[in-house]
Amino acid sequence: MNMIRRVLQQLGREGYRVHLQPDERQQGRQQLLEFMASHPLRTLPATRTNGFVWHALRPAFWLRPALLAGCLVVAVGASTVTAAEQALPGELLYGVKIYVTEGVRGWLAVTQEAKARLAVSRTQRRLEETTRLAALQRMDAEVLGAVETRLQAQADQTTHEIERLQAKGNAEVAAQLSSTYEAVIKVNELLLQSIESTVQAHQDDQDKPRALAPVISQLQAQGAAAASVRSDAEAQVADAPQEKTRVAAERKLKSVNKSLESVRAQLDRRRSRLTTEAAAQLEAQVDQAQLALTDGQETLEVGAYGAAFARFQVAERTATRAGLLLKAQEQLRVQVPLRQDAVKAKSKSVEADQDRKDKDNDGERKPAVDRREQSQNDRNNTRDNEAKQSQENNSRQEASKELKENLEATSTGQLQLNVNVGVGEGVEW
Amino acid sequence: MRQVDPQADFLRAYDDYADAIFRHCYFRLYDRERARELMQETFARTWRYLVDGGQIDHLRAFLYRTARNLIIDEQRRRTNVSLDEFLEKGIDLAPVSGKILEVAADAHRLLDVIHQLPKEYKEVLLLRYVDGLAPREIAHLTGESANVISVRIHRARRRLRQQFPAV
Repeated sequence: MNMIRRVLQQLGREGYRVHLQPDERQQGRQQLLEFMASHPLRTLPATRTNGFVWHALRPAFWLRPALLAGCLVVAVGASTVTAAEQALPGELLYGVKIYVTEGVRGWLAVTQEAKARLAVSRTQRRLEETTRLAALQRMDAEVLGAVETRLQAQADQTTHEIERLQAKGNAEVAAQLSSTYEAVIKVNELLLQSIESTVQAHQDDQDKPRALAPVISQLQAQGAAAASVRSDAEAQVADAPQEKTRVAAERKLKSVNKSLESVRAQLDRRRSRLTTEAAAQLEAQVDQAQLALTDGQETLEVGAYGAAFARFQVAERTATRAGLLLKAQEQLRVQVPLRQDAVKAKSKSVEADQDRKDKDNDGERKPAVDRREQSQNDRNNTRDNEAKQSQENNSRQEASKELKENLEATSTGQLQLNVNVGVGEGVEW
Repeated sequence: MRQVDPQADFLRAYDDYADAIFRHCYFRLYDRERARELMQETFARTWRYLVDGGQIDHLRAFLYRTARNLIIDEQRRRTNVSLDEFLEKGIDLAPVSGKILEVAADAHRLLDVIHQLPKEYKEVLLLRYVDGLAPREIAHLTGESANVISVRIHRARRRLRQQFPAV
């Protein structure tokens, strides 16, 4: 038993040699300090016995109304932060979203991996905002300039963080993150292109310059940069000792299986809300991911671990793309400006509907008027009915006129986005 | 009674326990970066608990309990804790002399055996010998009595001796 105790004590001494480096400790302390400053604690008299007794807020009676007011302020603040989550560039709460909500997330990301993950997630948020702005037709020159600048800064930051992660030796996660990053960029590029062509098709002036073209070409360049970072990281995974590459490939296989399963389940759940064409395109994407997965499994079986890892990356990227597109197909509605001829056609169709209804009403009324055997009382009743009917017709015509005016005033309509994802054209992600 | 400055006290607690909490996470996840991250989150969550009006009587035990919960969540999320990988590359230590390395080899083998013990034995041995907690503190952390913990440590050592006869 003494022997065991001696080795256990050695283990304890060994354990004590696992510690934070001074710079890590300093960085962590600074981050904690900032976190505490942003979440202040009110100081009250407290005892400290037996080393540690911590008393939190115990308000005196006279302090309670003030505390209640404080709680209300905090509650309003919390709801502001929640509301800010949906804010878009140019809106009042957008600053809260960027500097408060996302700032807090940044404090907790201390490791390089967390920083890189956060950067990818922020890129995704910036791109979602851009796509929503474009779909709502709110991308004027000023907003476009701000969006381009922010996207570029975020892309530079993301590439930098992923490259640093790779330089620190974590090529596997760097490869995974750059692959996700690439898929996010590509999906948003496709969405913007679809929005642009949908809007273009409904414009009077077909030669009008494409408003989203600068952002689309910016995304194409960023996508190419992401692909290059991903390719470097994949090469580093393949060049690692064989055992390490094998473990990475097997881990990736599990992760791809999970992703595919999740996308299939989502597709099944949301199929009823998709158009037949959209559902078919997404299914083709999932099949494409499955093919890459099967291919990767065969490659893994013959011991080409690096190549298998790369094939699994393709499968995961394709599944990620399908998941993101599915979300967009369901949620994005493009506000399109209606052409004047479309507005007129719509007004005419409203009038035609109204006429048809009027005729139907007349048709119902005529037989009552034509009946020879009807009594004088019945005729009197019919006259009364005719008077009522005529009054109703007048009010309906007024409503129709009002509807027509409103339609001309808004001149916009909603279209479901139909994205051509290029399946079957040999496009591989 | 004195007026305390909770912020300064909490920072002092960070200075005192950051390494210990980091080590606690490290010997359960074997991932240095992730252990650092969970250590940081442990302190942030504890502070938030105080901000939300929570009361902590024993800060050290509270920190360990928070870290323990975070580790459990992490282990549920991870497909596999890469103990094999860790055993291959060894503990991430500062450079040491040859003599200490010889001693360390025994400790590494012992750690390997500890990880094969039933969960409750593994837990108390790591808490007692790697984290250096007293039975009373372990009892506070796990919600058992100090007596139960002492008995469990004794039995765990006996199991260890059976499975580690070479020492």
